[in-house]
Amino acid sequence: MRDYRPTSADLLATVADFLGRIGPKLDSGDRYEALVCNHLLGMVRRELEMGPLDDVDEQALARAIRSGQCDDDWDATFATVLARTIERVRRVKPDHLLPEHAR
Amino acid sequence: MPAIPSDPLAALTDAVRRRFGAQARVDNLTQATLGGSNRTLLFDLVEPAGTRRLVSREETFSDKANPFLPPDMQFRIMTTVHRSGIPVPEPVFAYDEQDALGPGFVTAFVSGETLPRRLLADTTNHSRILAQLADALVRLHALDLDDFAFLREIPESGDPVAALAMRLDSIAEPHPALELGLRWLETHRPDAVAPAMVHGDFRNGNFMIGPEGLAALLDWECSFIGDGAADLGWLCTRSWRFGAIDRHAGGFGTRDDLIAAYRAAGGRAITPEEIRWWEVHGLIRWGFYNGLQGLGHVNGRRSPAYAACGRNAALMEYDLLMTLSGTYD
Repeated sequence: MRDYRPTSADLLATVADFLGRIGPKLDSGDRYEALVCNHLLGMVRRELEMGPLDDVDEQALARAIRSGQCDDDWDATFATVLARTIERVRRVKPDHLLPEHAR
Repeated sequence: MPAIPSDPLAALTDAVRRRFGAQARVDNLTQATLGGSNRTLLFDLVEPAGTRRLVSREETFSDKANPFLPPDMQFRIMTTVHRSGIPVPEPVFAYDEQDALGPGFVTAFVSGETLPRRLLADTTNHSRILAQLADALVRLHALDLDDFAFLREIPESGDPVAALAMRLDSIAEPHPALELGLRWLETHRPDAVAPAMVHGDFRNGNFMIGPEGLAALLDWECSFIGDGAADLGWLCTRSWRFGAIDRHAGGFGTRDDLIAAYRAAGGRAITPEEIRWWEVHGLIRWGFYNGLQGLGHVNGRRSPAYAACGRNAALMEYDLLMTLSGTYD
């Protein structure tokens, strides 16, 4: 047992349901923003489910790639970056992934 | 950020009377809701001689990371391009320091459709639109660069890889996937070509399409002097195909169709490889723009859409990596 009911996921779902209900009543600009807000809530929901990304020093990796230090190790670097990108997309918008990358 | 006048009607009325006389007035004023980083007002300029529908565009956000041309440069570009006969909204006047509006400018209103998904739903005129787009590009790329000398100093008019790296550094957030793309650009450069006037934001969404096809090229805030293939590559960038992924050129035709149309209009023979290089450039650039909007959000220009952009950068990064690996074309 951690917190009282409802779960954090349920709290998010409650807000998402509410946005979904009021969206159609809004003018086009606000309706669009309500859809975007649901997208934002989805990101947080999936991050709660999957856990946050590992804490990696991406600054060092970015510098190494730019300077050409990874050129001789391109395929492995590419695989590392792709794996991390897939983890990001899984949280942001999983249906953007090819089937082989979706879990 | 400039203050938004509480009464745009009074400010616009003052602005048009300064230029068109005391009898000029403003009618049917509306504000476009989805103006992005600009405020867009539509209005009728009413004069004794007649009424014209006009559009006011104002820059409402400026930041040191802002990669967009200042409105006075956009106005100068549009003035020269319009004079050449390339379809562009007729520039009417630019705001100056005596106006309560601006920085920004006013152009003629051009009616038509810009929404990509609506344009792609009706496939009957796609080949005509593609031919008109290619023709406009060939004419744009042939304009005399002396008329655009003020663009020579902007970073994008220099080395395109260095300029993009500089933009990426400006958002102060590491993006290894975008770096892989930059490194690929660096190591796969196409041969140098004679520089041309480049629209810079030539993509589905910036084309006003009317009953006769292309009515106006919009959004001249990313123009630069460089390789004309940049415009073809940005048009083909996967993010601008709106689901029509096999029709690379904005959904209007394939990459080869675009190359043929550009050639038929009198342009040089551009290779698919050159266009693909600029598509990789485009995916990095679009990822950067999304990161930039996310930065704008946390820096105070808050909105759900800008918040989403920051995280959505990962989607362009995925498309970029799939393109680099040859999985996507």
